[in-house]
Amino acid sequence: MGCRLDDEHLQAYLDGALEPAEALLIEEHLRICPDCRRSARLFKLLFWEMEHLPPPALPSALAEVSDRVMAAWEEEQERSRAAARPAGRTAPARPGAARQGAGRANVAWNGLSLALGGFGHIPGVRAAGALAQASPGLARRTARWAARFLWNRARARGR
Amino acid sequence: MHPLDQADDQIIRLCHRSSPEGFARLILAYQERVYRQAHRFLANREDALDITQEVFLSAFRAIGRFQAGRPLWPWLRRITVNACINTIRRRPSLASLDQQVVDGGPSLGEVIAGPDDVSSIAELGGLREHLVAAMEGLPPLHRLVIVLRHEQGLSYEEIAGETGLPVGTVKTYLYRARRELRRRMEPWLEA
Repeated sequence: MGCRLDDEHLQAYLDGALEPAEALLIEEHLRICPDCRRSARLFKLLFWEMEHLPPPALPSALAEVSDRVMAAWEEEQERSRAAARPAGRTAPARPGAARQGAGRANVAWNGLSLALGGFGHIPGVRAAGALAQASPGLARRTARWAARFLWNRARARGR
Repeated sequence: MHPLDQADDQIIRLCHRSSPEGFARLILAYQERVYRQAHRFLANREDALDITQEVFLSAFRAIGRFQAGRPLWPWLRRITVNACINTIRRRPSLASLDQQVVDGGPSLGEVIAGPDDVSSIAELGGLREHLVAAMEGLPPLHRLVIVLRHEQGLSYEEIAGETGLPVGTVKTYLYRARRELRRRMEPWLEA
């Protein structure tokens, strides 16, 4: 830029980050300096383009992240429960809601609830239905994950 | 209360009761946003997926202390920014100049080199593809500051608060990055 205005001041002006008096000085300068006007125009175009970039595409692998998060969270919860449990005591028995014939979604949901909720909160069919409505994919994955959890737990108890 | 904030509030209350529905809703509502933000910051799909997982695990651990009535996104974005900064610190050379920007398109190296002949611009393709490529060629912390300013609309001070960088450093990174982008993109911006 062949003038006294440095480009950092110009950028700060375009960000609206200058005091009113400083901004006025920049505006006065832009009136008489075609180079700085051009520079300001290019920065404005650049800012506009950066604000309207298309979002990055979502990879199919993102769907697996929720599974991995839930599995890792369950492991963490199990570890902290085991650490809190007095030596020699086993986990309390699961409440009987899953035996009430509420269907596969309820069993799956209860499994997840047991894993995440520390045995205290069983939301049942309504919550599973709401999740299935909000996201069939996540509900399917949740059911898969919960079934895996129940299977592993049953195997561990059978040993 | 804004409907979005109401949805957040419901998620927070469910999570406070350790309800799995709350955790599932939290992931459903914000997974894509966290991934896209991490991808913009790190310009790498695998890193962005890892960051997404890390962010939700951190959020699950900390949401018990999160106050109901506050919006979730600024909090999740801050966790995302911190996770990305940690990744950048562990691996400072995240952006590869040989990385191809779009299938069949120019490599980042070619884009960064920029066209000497303005008439070749038409052959190089769209402005936005090249802007994304030029942004991916920036040093990671410069890119992070640019994204927080221009995609998230944060002020210098807010960016400093979010990243832990001094305000002066935020300004320096921002001005340098934009000067560099303007230089790279000048032929497209003038076209």
